[in-house]
Amino acid sequence: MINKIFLEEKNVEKVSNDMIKNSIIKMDNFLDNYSEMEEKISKLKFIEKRVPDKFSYSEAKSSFFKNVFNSFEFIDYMGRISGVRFKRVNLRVLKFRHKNYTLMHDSLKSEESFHFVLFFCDGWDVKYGGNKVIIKGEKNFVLTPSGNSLVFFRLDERDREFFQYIKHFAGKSEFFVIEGSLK
Amino acid sequence: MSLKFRDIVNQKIINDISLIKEKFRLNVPFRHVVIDNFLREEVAKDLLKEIKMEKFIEKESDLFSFKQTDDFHYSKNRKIKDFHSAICSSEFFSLINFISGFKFKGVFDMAGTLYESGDYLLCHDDELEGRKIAYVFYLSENFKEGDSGNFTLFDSKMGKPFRAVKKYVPLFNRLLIFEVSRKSFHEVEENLSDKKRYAIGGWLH
Repeated sequence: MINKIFLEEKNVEKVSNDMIKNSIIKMDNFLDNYSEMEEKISKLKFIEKRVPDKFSYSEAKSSFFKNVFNSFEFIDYMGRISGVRFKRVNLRVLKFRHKNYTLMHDSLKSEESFHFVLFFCDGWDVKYGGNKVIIKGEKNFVLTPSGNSLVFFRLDERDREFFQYIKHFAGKSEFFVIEGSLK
Repeated sequence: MSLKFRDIVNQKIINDISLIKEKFRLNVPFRHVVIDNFLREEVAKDLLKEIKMEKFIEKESDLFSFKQTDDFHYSKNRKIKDFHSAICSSEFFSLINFISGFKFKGVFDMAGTLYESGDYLLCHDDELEGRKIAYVFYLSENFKEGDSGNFTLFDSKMGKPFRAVKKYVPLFNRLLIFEVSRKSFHEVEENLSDKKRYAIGGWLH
């Protein structure tokens, strides 16, 4: 599942050090079976969901992806690079296209938490919008959707995150994202 | 000599004021009214010419993407300042007081906005301490419904926005006012055209 390069001991150590230092890390070419996963995600049945002052996207239920990201291999790896012992992953499989977005929530988190997003897309242009924005203190991390990129990040009490509104420049383009919280 | 509100408003609006008040009271999903041809046409045209010369600054967050001027109170453009004075006046406050029933403290915000292609303002309620009435005065030329940039009102269920139930095209010389409350959910739909959507807006406290 995970690209073997990331599993090499020296790279685990490097990624772990970066994660501890920055609380966020982006890993390109994360899956070694990306094409297979992309095909599976594109065949899921997505249902549109909208709460106007909170979010607008489509969501699919998938026991396949739930199992994949709750596998020992994945949870163990995320634990090794973060230094935290995780037991399970809460997962959401989402699809974004023109007019979709998520807004920041006002509710404060009671403690730090770990999350990841994994993108499935082809040739997404930054001018389309739809970037994942993570606000950590004074720093804004703007992540343009990019196929097979996994972003792993820690959110503290006051940190915020959202997906920018997708503008009409995107036309019929869309992307999928697997969003997980580690417990 | 500074401009008076009575010098710039379309006299027909004053004549129809009771009808406007009634529309404001009855309109759903929350109290609001749209007043077309609000200013004398030459005044509105002149205002558009002046606002185009103002400096617009890009604003972007999870909720919006558009350009905005500083508050017109600080504008160095004499015509813009005159317009600000004419609106920030007891005459205009009395008019809005008659329509809405609200009394105002004289606190007044006014700034220009510009929505270019792809700009938007997502659903929110505008509620902030002290705001009683929100107003938007449209100066965009030749906007049609398909261009979007429409002002959309949402009804609410259990205190949350539910469905978009009404839309207004941002027509030139159109004023829209609404009561700010916990249920005044609205949005500015994305500008899908290449036209520039100019407006002036703010709140009466």
